Amino acid sequence: MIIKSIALCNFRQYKGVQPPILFSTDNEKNVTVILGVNTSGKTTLIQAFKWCLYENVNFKTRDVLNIEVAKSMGLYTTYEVYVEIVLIHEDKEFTIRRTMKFTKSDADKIKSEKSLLKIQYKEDNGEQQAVPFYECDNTINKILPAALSDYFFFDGERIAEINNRGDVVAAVRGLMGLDVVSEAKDRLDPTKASSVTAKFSKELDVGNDQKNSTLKNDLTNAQTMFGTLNTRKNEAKNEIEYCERRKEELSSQILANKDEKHNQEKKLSLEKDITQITKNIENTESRIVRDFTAGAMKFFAIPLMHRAMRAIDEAKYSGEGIPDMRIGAIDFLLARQKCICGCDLKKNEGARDNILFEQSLLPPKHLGTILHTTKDTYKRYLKESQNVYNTVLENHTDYRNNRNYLGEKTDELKNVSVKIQGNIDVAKIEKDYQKNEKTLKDKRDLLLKISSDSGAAEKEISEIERNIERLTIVSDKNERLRKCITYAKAVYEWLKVGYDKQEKEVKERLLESVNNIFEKMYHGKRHVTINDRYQIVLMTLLDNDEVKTDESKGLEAVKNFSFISGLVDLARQKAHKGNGVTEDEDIPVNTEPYPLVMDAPFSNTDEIHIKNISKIIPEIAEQVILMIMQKDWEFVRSALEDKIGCSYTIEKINNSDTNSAIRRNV
Amino acid sequence: MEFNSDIKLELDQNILKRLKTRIYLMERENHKTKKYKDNEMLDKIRKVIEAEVDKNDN
Repeated sequence: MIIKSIALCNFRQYKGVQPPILFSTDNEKNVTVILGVNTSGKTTLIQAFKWCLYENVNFKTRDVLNIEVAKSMGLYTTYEVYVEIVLIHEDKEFTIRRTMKFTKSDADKIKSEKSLLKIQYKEDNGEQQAVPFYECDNTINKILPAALSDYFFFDGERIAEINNRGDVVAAVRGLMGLDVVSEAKDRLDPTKASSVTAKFSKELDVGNDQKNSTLKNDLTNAQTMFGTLNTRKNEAKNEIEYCERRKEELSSQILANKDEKHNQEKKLSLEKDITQITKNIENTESRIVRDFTAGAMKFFAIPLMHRAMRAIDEAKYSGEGIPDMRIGAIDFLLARQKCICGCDLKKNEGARDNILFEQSLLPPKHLGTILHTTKDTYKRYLKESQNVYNTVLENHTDYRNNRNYLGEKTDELKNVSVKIQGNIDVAKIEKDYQKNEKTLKDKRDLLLKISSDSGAAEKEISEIERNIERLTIVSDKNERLRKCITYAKAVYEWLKVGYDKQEKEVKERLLESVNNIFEKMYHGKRHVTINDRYQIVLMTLLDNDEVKTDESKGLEAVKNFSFISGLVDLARQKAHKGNGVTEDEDIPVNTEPYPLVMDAPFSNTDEIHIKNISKIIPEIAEQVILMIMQKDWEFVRSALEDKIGCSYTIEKINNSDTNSAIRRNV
Repeated sequence: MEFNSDIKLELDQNILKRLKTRIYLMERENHKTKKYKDNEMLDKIRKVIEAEVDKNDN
C-alpha cells in the first residue's frame, strides 16, 4: 500500500475544504515531511487516516466536526466532514472517502448522521468503478486490516508501547501472512472435531463394508445356485429331447407294426374274452346247483300235484263257505246275539238264520271249503315249480351257450397265436412307449420346476445386486470420503509443515533484520533478541555472558523503531519476492509493502538516534510520512535531505487552535 | 468412527497442488475481507475438496 494523497474538509482543525496533501510516491525520495508546532494538527492527520479507513479516532472528544464550523452553524443548517485518501494497493488506485453530515437541530444540539464510506478504484483502462457499499469494509480490510494499522500509523507516545502490546504475536503473524496459514491449518486439522477432515471422517459408514461383504457372499451363493439350476435345466432339456426322439422311434415302430398290433390286440382281446367266459360258466354252474337244490322238491312233486288236482276237480261238493271262517267264530256271534255288521241277531231272525246257514257250510259239517283251499295251494306250488324249472332251464341254456362260445374263442386264440408267434412284441414296444411317455412327462415337470427355481434364483440375484448397488452407492460415498480425507490430510500436512517452516524463518529473519537495523540506529554495545512472543529484549555482553539490560525511554524508542522497521523490511522483502502461489512445496505467504506514517516519533530520542533512525527508515520502508515538530526537524533534515520528496507545513490560522491549514513547502 | 488409514489411496499430485493453491487463496482472501464466517469457510473448503475429487473421478 502506497498513499498518494489525503484531502480533508472540516475535519477537526482543518476548516473548510483543504487542498489535498500529495505524498511522495517516488522510490528514491520516498519521504514526505509535514512540519508543525504543537496543537497545529499533526496528530489530527494520523487520526484522519484512521477515521477515513476505520471510522476510528482517538480524540478525547470524539467530534470530528471543526469547532468553528459547529459554532457558526445556523439552525437547521447542514455541514459535512470528509476525509478522502487516494492510495495504491496491488497496483490499483483506490479513492476512499468517508463523509459525515452534521445538522443543527436546535439551538444547543448538533446532530450527526451515520458516516458514509465510498470507495472507487481505477480499472486498467482508466475508468472509475465504485465498490458496492456492502463490500466497502471488506475492501478496506483487504488493503490494510484494522488490527495492523497501529503498526503503521502511530505517534511518538505509542511507539514506546508498540512492542509490548498483547497482540504483537498476532500482528507479526498477520503481517507475515502466517495467520492465514494458521487458520487454514486449523480448519483442516484432523484432531479438531469441527475441522473439515474430522467431518469427512464422521460421515464414513464403516458398517457398510461388512454388509457389502455379506451381500457379495450371498450373491456368489445365489449365482452358484443359478448356475447349478441352469446346468440341471440343460440336462433336463437334453433328457426331454432324448425322450421325444425315443417317442418318435417307438411311435414309428408301433405304426410300422400296425397289423401285428391288430393281431396282438386281438389275441389279448380273445384271452380276455376267454377269461370272462370261463368266469361266466363257473357262475352259471353255481347258480344251477343253487336253484335246483332250493326247488328240487317242488320240481319233482309236479306230476303228483297234477294228479291231486285232477282228483279234486273230479270230486262232488257244493257250495263254498266263507274262506278261513271257523264254526267257533259264528258260535261267538250267535252267543252275543250281535252280528259283525251290528245287526241284532235276537230281534232279526232272518239274519240269524243266514248266519246259521253259513255255519253249515264250514268244516267239519262241509268239505267244499277244504278242497277249494287245497286246490289253490297246489296251483301256487305248480307255479313255483314251473319257475324253478324255467330258471334251471335258462341257466342251463346260458351254460351251454358259454361253453360253445368258449370253444369258439379258444379256437380263434389258437389261430391268432400261431400267426404272431416269433414276431416283434408290439405290446412291449407300446409298454416302452408308455414308459417313455411317463418319463417325458416327469422330465417336463422337472424342467418346469427347475425353470421356476431358476427364475426365483435369478430374481434373488437381481434383488441382491440391487442391494449391493444401493450399498455400492454408500461404498462409493465412503470411497469418495476417504479420498476427500486423504487430500484434506495432505493439504493439512503441507500447511503444518509450511507454517512451522515459515514461522521459524520469520523469527530468524526478523531477528536478523531487527538486529541489523538496531545496530545501525543504536550507537552503544547492546544487541537484541526476540522471544517466543516476538518481543524484543535488549541484551548486553558482561564478562562473556549475555545479560538483559534496563531500558531508558530513548533506548526503548530505538528498540521499537528497530522492531517496526524490521517488520516493514521483512514484509517488503517478502512482497518483492512475490505473493503468487507458484511454488508447490512452500506456502506462499502474503505480504504487502506498507508505508510508515509517524507523528512526532522522536520524542525521548537523542539527536544521534534521531539521525540514525531518520537515515535508516526511508531505506527500509516503501514510503515514509513523517509529521514532526520544527525543533526535531533540524536533527532530521541532514539525515533525510536526499530522501524527501514532499514537504508541508501546518499553519495555525490566526494562531488559532481550531483552524489550521497545510501549505506545501517550495 | 475413525477413518481407516490402512486403506492407502494414490494421491493425484496435480489435484493436491490445485487444492493447496485454492484453499490457501480462499483463506488469504477471507482473512482480508472476513466475508465468510468460520462455518462458511469450512463448507467452502469442503466443497473445494469434494469438487476436485469428483472432477477426478469423472
